Amino acid sequence: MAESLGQFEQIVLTAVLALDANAYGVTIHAKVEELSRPRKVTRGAVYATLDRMEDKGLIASWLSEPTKERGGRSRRHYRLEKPGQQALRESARTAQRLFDVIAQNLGLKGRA
Amino acid sequence: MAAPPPRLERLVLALIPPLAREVVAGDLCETFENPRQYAAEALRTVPFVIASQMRRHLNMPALLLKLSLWWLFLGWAALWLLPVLMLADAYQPAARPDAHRAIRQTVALGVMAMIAVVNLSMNIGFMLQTGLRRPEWLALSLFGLVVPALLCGVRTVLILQNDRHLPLPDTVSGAELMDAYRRFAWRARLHNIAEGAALVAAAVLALLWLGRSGAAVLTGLYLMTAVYLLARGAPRPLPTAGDFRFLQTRYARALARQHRLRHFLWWLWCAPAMMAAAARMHEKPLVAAASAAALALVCFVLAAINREDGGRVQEDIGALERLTG
Repeated sequence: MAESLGQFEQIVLTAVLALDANAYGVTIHAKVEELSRPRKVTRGAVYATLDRMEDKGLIASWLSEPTKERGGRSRRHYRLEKPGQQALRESARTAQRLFDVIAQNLGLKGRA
Repeated sequence: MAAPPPRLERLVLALIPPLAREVVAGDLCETFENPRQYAAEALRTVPFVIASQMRRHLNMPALLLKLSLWWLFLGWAALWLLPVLMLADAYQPAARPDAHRAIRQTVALGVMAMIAVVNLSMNIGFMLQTGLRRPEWLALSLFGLVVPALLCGVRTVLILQNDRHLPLPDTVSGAELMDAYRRFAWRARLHNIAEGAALVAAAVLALLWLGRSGAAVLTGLYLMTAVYLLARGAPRPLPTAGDFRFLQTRYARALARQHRLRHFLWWLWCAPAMMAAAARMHEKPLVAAASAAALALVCFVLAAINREDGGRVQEDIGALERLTG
């Protein structure tokens, strides 16, 4: 059975998925802010969630070459692992079911 | 290109735990707009990073064991040490100490101890004449002067010993990395079997020779740890499918897990010595002072070994994360 995800974990995993090869701290934070609008998100919360999901084996990370714009420091890149993909699919199915029920009862337009 | 003011950056760097420093400081530098924004962003980010590092490096068995041992000496006041111990784990160094610096420190401390000992021994006659009633205290003071230099020497030997450890090359193929993991897993398995067997032997000896309530607790702990080491202690075998990044992650996690095990085991092996020292703390002042000195010695050596080992493991993990296949 896939790991069950909290809402913030779903958002962070979706950001990693969407950014693909360009997923690292700054871009993930920007994408998470975009996905969770209008809520503001601190970068620290994103780091903590990434660490937790890495420990659960949902994502993997590695360091890039150091760059000048970062003061000669490396970026930590992330990618989704198989358990992460599975957990995200499971969450999407649950969200779809919720959306269908809400749309039916409150008359929302469009599909999730 | 705009960059944070050096002083402000140094302050922020000092606050970020070393293992997350490069990435977090790099991200902060990349999004720098002005010093005010940089400082505000750092203040919002760093507490989460510290909390995350505390959770990540929480070695619960080792923490509980350390707290129990400190409880023997300090009673419930030992609970105040909990945040200190957790922060120490969060701020563990990302690399090993420099061997040359350690040698310089040992030499300096040795010379200082020698000067102090010579000075003290030249004045012994005068001190005895002017009413020093207990020469044992004098002996203990001399011991106290020499011990820091000795401890520093022990630490330097440990650092030099670990210098012989060969790091991974910058570029390796998937097959080479797989081979390196298998060799590491094999060594770890053998180490665990040997240490598990030694723990069983120590548990039996403790039960036969000591036969007190403290020894029963220790025997149980030794046996439980031996069973865990033999049944679950070895690194997991590699699955047949899995790419280079997967292998890197698996290897890094296995290294960190074996280090956590060793950290706990070092404290476990020294627990009887600390328990014996705790039992003598309420005896005569001289015995209590000698016990406190022995305790300080054991704690220092354990901390040095674990810091050295942890630094080496973090260097290996860092090298793994930078590997290109």
